[in-house]
Amino acid sequence: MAFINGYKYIIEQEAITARESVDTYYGIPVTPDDVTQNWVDYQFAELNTPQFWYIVFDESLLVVLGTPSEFEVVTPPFPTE
Amino acid sequence: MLFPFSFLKTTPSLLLDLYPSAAAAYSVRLLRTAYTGNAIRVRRSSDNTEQDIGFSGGNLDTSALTTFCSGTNGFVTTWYDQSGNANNATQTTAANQPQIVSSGSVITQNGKPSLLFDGSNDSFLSTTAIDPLFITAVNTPNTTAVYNTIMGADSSTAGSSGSIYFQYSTPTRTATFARKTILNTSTPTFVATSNRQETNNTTNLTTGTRTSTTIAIYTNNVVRGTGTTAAPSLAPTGGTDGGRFRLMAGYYSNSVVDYLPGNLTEFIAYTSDQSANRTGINTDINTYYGIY
Repeated sequence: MAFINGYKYIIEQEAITARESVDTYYGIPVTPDDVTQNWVDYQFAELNTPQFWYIVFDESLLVVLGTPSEFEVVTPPFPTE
Repeated sequence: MLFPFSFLKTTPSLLLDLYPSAAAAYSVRLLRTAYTGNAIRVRRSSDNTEQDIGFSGGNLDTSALTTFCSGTNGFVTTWYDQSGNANNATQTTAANQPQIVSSGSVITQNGKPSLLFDGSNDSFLSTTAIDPLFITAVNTPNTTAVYNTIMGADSSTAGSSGSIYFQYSTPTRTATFARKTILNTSTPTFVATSNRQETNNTTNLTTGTRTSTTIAIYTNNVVRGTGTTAAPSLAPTGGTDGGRFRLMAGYYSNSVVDYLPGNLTEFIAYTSDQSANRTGINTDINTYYGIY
């Protein structure tokens, strides 16, 4: 279990919309040929019940997504590789 | 009197001229005489525009880099593959791109330009999957964390962890080269773990080799650990990214994990046995970077 400071979304489309709003704010991509396609990416809390999607907080997101919240994300068992 | 031989110019042989057939090769220096492409593609933070940066005199064209990133930060979106296989390493998310220019100054290690990864989410993803028998990397970890990966690849959507590990373990910061062949277990089948504890903020030349019988890990061209192998049965062909490898991150439970905080300056992989060339390759690298 990990405590994440960020933005939590119940359905994936909400996370996609949030990502797009950040891209629009920062003008990403500048040109269609740019390698950079997103400012930030979202992640899937696959092991949580119920599952959800989230974006990890970064200061650059504050102006677009507002104040973040803290939530728990179930992480895989400690790897022994 | 003219001496015809005085007009002969000798072109210095570059690393991949001497040891060709690499599967992937990324560097801040020119590695192959016939390579005419760029070294990196950079996004500057002032306006997020991107520009390719090439070479000047066999080195990264830092003049072009600092001109493009004048007074701002520069992040690498693409590390171009010089092997000829177009296996470029890319990062399409701005927040996950490693940094090479800080406030107009080129980030360096051992006096050479170097890519700085934040250890939180920075990594590159290759274009195609490879199953290397020889890997060598100029790297400078700066913080100890749980499993810091230089190169990692996933194995299967059903697997619980990846198939290739080229990483440091914590708390000992010992290097490991491992190749897993069994699904749904977190224990690699073929493992070589170093007996030497590395120090943060020190540049290492870390090398992993594998033959049909032996897997080995080297630091600064000295063998630090060995293991036994057999013909691997599980190729890096599946998982989150279809078996493509990450630089400075690995895989576990279908997730990208084990980010390595620190610098990566050069990374070369072969899918052929290069045991006989290991000293030659590593000596060439050390001559340029002055690591050991």
